Amino acid sequence: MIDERLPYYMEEELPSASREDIKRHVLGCAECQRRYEGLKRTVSALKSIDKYVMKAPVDFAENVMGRIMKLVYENCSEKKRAAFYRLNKKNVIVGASIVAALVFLGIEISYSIHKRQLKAKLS
Amino acid sequence: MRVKLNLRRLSDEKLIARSLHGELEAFEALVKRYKDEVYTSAYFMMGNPVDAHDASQEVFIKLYGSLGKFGGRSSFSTWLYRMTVNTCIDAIRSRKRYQTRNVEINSENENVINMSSYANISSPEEELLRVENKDRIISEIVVLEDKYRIPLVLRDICGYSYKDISDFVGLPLGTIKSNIFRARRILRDSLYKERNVLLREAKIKDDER
Repeated sequence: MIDERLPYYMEEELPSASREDIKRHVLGCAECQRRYEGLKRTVSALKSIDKYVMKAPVDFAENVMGRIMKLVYENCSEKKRAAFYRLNKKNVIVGASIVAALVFLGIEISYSIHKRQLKAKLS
Repeated sequence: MRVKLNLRRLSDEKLIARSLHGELEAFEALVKRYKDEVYTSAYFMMGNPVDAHDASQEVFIKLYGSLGKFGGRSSFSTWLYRMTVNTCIDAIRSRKRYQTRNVEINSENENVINMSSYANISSPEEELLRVENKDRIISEIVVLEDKYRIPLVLRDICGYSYKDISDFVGLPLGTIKSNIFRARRILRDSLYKERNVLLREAKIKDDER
């Protein structure tokens, strides 16, 4: 069947004699001309597909990094892991102190505002 | 914020060097730079979003582990795409759906092409295939069988040579070529056929009026 050989013809993968045969046939056969045309269009449409036509999910990079961090943590030595833990512990302590300080500051400020308002009312 | 902006401007090679020094943000910048391209190749190779997601995550995890092996002989993107292709092929193998047997094209069994569907088209304008419609062509690619889709995608979308594809997949060159050529015809026929059916339906409706 001619159609089976059309892709080979298109890619010039046929010996010259059978290439000539196909060429002659395609020129005289509207049916095969359409098929050949369709084949060319299909291939050029495939070739024009963008390399990033599909978008990775929005949290893709985050997920990858999460998995990598887990791997890094699992693969590091006990000593490093302890250091990692200490670092985290230190961060937690520092974070908690900052929050405590802020709360304290907030109370102080609201108290002083309140005091001033009370003073203004009294005078 | 400023650091991230700077990282985005750095070359692949500089980001690799920083990643090798343990700078995770540099690696994250690489992931962000290439995630869509890797995901797109994986999507076409795996044929569905779930497997594509798993495979492309796997690619970047592997990449992190083998950054030190990047010799700089080819460009980083070429190296990464090879890794993507190999990862996907491995994933498909473990999915056990990839048929490694040689595929002989049996002309007697080839009834994909319906002669009458071609003959039904009347005007030359009508017969023009609207393959510019990307969504349609994508949906037709992903339903192809693995043995047709994978070499077709590697050749016509990723642009690898037949020889490279034969090495990737581990099948003889002749089989790869015949599978690609067959895949192009199947794709052409599915794109045409549907359109012809639509045309015929439209014609019948017109006749009924």
